Amino acid sequence: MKTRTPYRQDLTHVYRTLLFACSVWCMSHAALSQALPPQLFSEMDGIHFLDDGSSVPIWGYGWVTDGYITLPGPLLTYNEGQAVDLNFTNPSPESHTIHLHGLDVDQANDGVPATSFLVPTNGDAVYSFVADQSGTFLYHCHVTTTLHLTMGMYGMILVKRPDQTLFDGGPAYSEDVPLLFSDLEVATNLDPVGSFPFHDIRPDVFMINGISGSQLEEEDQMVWAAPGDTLALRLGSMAYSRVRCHFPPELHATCFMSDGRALPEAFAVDSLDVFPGERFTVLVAPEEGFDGVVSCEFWNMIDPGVEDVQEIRFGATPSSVGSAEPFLLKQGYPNPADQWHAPGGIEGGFAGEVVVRDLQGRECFRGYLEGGRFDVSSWPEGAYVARCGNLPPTRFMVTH
Amino acid sequence: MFWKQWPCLIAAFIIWFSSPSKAWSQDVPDTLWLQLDEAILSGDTMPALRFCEAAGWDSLNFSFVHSVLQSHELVVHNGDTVNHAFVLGVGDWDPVSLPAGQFTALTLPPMETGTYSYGLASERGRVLGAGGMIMVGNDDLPHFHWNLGDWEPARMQTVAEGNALDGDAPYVPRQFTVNDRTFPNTSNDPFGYVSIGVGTSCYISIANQGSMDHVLHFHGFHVEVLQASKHPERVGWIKDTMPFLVGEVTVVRLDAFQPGMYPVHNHNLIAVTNAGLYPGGMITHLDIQP
Repeated sequence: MKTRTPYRQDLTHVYRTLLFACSVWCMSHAALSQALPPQLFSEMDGIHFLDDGSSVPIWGYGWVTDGYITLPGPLLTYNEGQAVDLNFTNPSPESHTIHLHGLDVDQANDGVPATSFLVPTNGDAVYSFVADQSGTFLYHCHVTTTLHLTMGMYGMILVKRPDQTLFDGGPAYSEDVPLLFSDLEVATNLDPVGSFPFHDIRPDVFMINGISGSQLEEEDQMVWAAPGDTLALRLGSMAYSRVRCHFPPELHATCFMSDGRALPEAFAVDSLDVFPGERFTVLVAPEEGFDGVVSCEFWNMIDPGVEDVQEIRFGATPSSVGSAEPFLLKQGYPNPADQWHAPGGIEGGFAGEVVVRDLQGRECFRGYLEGGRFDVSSWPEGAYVARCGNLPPTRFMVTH
Repeated sequence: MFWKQWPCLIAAFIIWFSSPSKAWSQDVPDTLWLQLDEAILSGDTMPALRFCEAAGWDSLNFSFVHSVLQSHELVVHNGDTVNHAFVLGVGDWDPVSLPAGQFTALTLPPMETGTYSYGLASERGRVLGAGGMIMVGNDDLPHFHWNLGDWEPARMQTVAEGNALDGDAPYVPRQFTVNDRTFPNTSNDPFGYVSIGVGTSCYISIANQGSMDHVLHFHGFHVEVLQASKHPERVGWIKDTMPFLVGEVTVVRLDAFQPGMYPVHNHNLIAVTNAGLYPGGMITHLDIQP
């Protein structure tokens, strides 16, 4: 029988341990790289159109496969009990994170820079968690949170059950209707670098799923219900405002959940306050032929008063056609330019000094123009803001 | 001989060290001192009124624990230059006048388990920030407290000088506090910085003594609402984000199921700033030790 010296036994043990560790690392790494193509990305050069036809720069999240960001970010949907690896890549000029608001993830995956980690420019990260509770949740960037949220870095998460019930032992329903309240201050989005100090940010645009006013009246944004449908309104707020929702009696609204947990007792609801960061799940069973609205008052949290009212419009259909595609946004860019751009919108060109900054506030051009335009053919793609003397700033997009 | 006393001293030290710590609470005082002085918050200096435990100035209001259904004789000294009325958030308890510069004896009534705010009836008292909490019962677990406040120094100066506020002027608070501290100083607060072991639980009493509504979000955890004075329907709810209306007192229970460091912060994000600078203001932490 062959014997080994203790020393050799130790070496063998170390060798096997290292081999095992390397194998595990390689297997897990290979599995990660195969199973986790980048899903979400962040950028800081988006444009968002408001109800009045104007547009504001936004920062936000988007699907890597889409290649553009949206306000709000994409709806993330998981199954209850699912082990989730959310792969995030950040090609934007600043660091970002994803905070999984309400999912009670561990510290490492919490998305708070000081206690977990930052995802730097050109960095990738995987947020791992188990979606162990069905319900409505949110996600947002937690870097300089006041500014990054105002600029649009947030979205909603739904954790669903395969049997289409709200929770274990809870009621069944037909469809989810995600409704994310938020607001922004136009001046901040136009000039994020100049938005300091943050304590006096006062929103002046109030949105549901990123749109407002007449945008919410378009058919593809309405909530359609067929006779007998029970819809789960997934209410969440990323606003600075308190949002008070008024439910007409014809909806027979009942609140079953808040913050991803079943309430001890469901209750019939005719009005409901949703504070910043809160979520509620309200089931509605519209009466046949109901054609009305849930009005949503945006209340100022500092000096109480209604700032704005937005409406969720319901329509009746003969059969279930599904609710509006959530977070379907119109994408477009003002003043696209690939070679020449004439700032100021002045015939014959602006004669004074022109200053152009990118959306991070970096100065890209300062000077006087020949012929009222300048050559942008060598500029990086992205959004820019041109200031011509005392004229209102104009935004333009460089595309190649 | 002195050396013979060492075993007794060591034994006393061991007994003291191993006994349950109650660093998160302060006992009911015999005298409260209402003081007018200056508070400094993140670079802003402002006149402030505080209820202090002792005759000297303390920029932190005094909150304390009290036994269930026990009355207590309390003397309040009004060190402000104007008369006040002491108010207690208990049912139909009538305010007690506090003449300027005088000691006034009052009786805290027997109170059921719960948390109650106390303060002054006047706008001057509210704007200058005089107010604390009385935590009754709920003493089987560590019991932390967060006294929420919001401060606009210019407005406070106006009120301190005895002038009326302009009702049409917008309110623009510059500082937001938990127990009269702004982040990161909230980490130095033994009564508000929640430090417990994983697998244990605690109570947190939260009172909004400010001039605007607030909303706090817990990272890493949901909590059970045990009391919500202006949202009684929410008792029993399990929440990670909850509002606190002006004057509201709330008690929650936290079961710390996972270790780590988790922020709790205002989700009205103007309030996580110090004079507009992020991060600051109404942020504290849950420090759950393995």
